[in-house]
Amino acid sequence: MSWLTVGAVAAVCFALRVTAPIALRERGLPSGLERRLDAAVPPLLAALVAVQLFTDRGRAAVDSRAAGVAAAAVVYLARRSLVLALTTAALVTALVRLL
Amino acid sequence: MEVTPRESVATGVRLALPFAAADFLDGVAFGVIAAGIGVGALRAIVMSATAFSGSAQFASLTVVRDEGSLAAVLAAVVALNARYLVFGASVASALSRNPLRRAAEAQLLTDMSWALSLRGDRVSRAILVGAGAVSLAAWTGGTAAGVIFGGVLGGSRAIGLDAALPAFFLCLLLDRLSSRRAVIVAVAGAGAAVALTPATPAGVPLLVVLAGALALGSR
Repeated sequence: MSWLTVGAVAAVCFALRVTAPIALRERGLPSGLERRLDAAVPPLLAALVAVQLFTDRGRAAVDSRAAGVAAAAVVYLARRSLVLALTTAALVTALVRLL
Repeated sequence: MEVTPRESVATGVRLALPFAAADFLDGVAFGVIAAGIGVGALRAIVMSATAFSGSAQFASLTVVRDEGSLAAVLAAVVALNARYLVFGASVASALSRNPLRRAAEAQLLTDMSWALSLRGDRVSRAILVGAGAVSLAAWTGGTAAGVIFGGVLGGSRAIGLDAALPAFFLCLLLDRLSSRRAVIVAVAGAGAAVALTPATPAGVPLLVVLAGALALGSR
């Protein structure tokens, strides 16, 4: 990988991050768009989870983390503790891989 | 109670620590793979410190290994990270006024720091900065460890740490499933992303879900 590639990838990542904040200044978004963005968060989060757990290299597949993440959801709904939920996810996933 | 910015940066750091371990190990994995295909140590470390995007960097390695063009690398990076345009827009009103500071704060946007900054009633700049800085340090440090120590270190898989990130996103999702409509839309988004994955390049399913949700609005 050349230094040109390293620099170009960094420049593209930087541009994608700063474009909206610089273009919008401190005005923020129109309230209608902000409501739309807010409504888009649950499906985007669900898609992030699903792609990680139910696809592998472009194919549908159940990931070994699925059981751990499901257990974490149960713990989180019962106790509302992120730390407890994430610890559960790691432990259950490790156990599943031992089996 | 009013929370001072300093305390909130510390809050961001504390909230991000569970993920920092995973970021570090992901960084190690990136470093090991980069070294394995002949990318110099300094280049790999500089890339992690500046691009600061696991998905974009792993995709770059894949294209470079397959001797793809620079244009192919950049197309993959744009597809994978176009969501940062939306993340940036959603936090824009909370960032500093000074343009240089705004740019520096925006550079700390990651999936994780963005999501953590949204946990309260309104976007928290301090949490974004605290969480993003921890993540950047862990990711870059992990990359350095990976390229230097190579195969000596194991991966995050053995202790299940790689499950923390999807579990985190799912917990955030559970916080937001306040209506039947939100549940239905979330399930539809997850299904669409999985269904689109075999037919589209990496990153595109998330973009399609995002565009669809924005078009649908919040009726």
